[in-house]
Amino acid sequence: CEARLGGGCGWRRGPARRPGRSFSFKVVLLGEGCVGKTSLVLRYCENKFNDKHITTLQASFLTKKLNIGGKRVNLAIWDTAGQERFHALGPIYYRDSNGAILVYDITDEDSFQKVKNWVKELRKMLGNEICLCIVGNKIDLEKERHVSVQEAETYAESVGAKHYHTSAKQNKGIEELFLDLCKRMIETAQVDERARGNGSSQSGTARRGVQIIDDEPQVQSSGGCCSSG
Amino acid sequence: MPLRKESTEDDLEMLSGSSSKKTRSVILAKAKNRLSLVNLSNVFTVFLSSDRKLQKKIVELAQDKDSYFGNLVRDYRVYSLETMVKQSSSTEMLQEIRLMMTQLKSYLVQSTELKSLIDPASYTEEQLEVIAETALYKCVLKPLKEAINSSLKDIHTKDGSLQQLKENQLVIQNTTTTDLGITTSVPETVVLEKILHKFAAMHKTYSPEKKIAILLKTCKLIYDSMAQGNPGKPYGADDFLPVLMYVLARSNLTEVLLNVEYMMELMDPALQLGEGSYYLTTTYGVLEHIKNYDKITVTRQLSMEVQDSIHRWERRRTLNKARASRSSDFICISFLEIGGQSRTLASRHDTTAEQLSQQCAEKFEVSHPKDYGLFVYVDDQCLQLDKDALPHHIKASLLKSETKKDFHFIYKPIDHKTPPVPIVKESDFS
Repeated sequence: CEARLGGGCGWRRGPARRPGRSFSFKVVLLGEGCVGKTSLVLRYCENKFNDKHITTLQASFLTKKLNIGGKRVNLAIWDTAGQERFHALGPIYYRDSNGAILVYDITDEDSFQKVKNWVKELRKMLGNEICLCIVGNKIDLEKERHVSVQEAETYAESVGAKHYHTSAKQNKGIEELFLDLCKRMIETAQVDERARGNGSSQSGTARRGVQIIDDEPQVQSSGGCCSSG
Repeated sequence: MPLRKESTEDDLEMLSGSSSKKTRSVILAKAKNRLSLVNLSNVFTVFLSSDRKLQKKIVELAQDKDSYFGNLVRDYRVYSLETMVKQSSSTEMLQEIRLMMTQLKSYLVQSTELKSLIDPASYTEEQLEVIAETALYKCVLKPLKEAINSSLKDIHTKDGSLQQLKENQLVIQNTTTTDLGITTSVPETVVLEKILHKFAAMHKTYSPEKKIAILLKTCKLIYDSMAQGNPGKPYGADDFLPVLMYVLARSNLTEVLLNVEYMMELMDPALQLGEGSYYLTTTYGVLEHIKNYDKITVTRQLSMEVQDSIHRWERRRTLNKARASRSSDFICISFLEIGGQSRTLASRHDTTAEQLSQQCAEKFEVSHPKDYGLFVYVDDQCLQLDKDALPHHIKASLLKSETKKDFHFIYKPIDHKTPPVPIVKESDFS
């Protein structure tokens, strides 16, 4: 008799979208290096569970379990490298994401521009189904602010994203950010679920590109053979 | 992490079922050890001895030439080996294999053959799927692994990836850590050797899950080296990616590429959100980065390859979704005589003998298909299949027959001798 690791690569996604049941969400973390994405997510995931914390593979991939109004939520948070040279790798991380957290440093105008670029790319590649959060981090450095609150909030609204003000250092605004994001992702998932149930799934599921091609194999195999050679 | 905390509790619950306290603490120690070593996953499935036994039984069933499942597995292996060499896309080749495995698994989990091995009430369907998945690694992937690797190598030699990796590998080896964007320590020679040793072990194993476990262990080693001189500071992707690139540039990139593709495409599709998936994605990303190293510095455009990767993932998900609606099966047919040249053909369950004959005509390249027909020899008796007969049903019926029947499907010329060969239409051999 031996203990063995079975599901070596994570929890099963499974039928996790029914109301009252559990939801599994993938959230991708984007933003330039040095804006504090890693501290932000570490702050969120470490806070409550310090006592039972088992050493993890660092901060690049973190998970969190929540209970929101009786709904269980499993969050998987995927960090990305923010350096410009790794920009091209974005898509392999954000595909299949339910949410994206786009972080900028309020003292760094340039990092806000980067967020705008990401928003453009995400909307282009994933459409409107992904829940976007734009996060102005380091509000403890209010005196050195270079991105105006109004500009940032107006921009967020114009692209259908929510804006948040956080400080990883002082642990401000982080809990709200994630709670709010989870609620929005649940809502999206439920709308999606309902749409699928009604059979009018076009807008909701188009992004994932899965259901809509479901009957493709039948067409392919009508000749009786599924291989060409 | 809450998830991990809960997983550990689950294990405790499961383990408390075992009889001896001593065994329990040993298992627990092992489990803890593994957790702290690799901290693999959120779903932490403990294989109890009963699960192992079942896994073994499934492997035995797959090797049993008289079982229907055994026949499926064997036919499938033959079919895979045949089609593999013709593929020009590594992704399509591997996805085809994954699709077949998923089909075999879904057959097995619902089959009466499996139900006769176990008390179905003692397992949930999900548990059965996990056990079946592991068993399939052994009876499908283990025998195919070498062929898969050599096909992958051929494909990537032809598409130039291996050459590109090799050229840029040298460039990166000669780039300073600062220019690579590294801000932490990098693994020392001793650790680097340890990592390379792990990569070699990864290349040897056939189970995608074990490969992923090894990948996570190497990532852990990398993080540990990064923390040299700065212990306790957690690192994110900004810090990790450049160091992983440094490490990979000192590894056997051909093997790493082959392994990454193998894991990405052959792992259980149900596990695409977790830590293993994250580090696999990261390794894939770094390989792409190395491959396009010279270009990326010039332009920040998405490389065609990276863009393409999104479509590939979507395709995979589509394929796996489609598994339920697609029900093909395999049938082995010999040309002219028993023991002659033979082919395993894949076709739908409801394929008629006429349709299958057409397939045979193409496969065996006969010039006058009209003169040929499909026959089945059952215990030395020769029967001709009616054009509307359903070969898969006949095969299934023969396999299920209470008295074991020796049978072979043959594609050969129709001879008009007397007395005429009996024609079979219905499939009742029980």
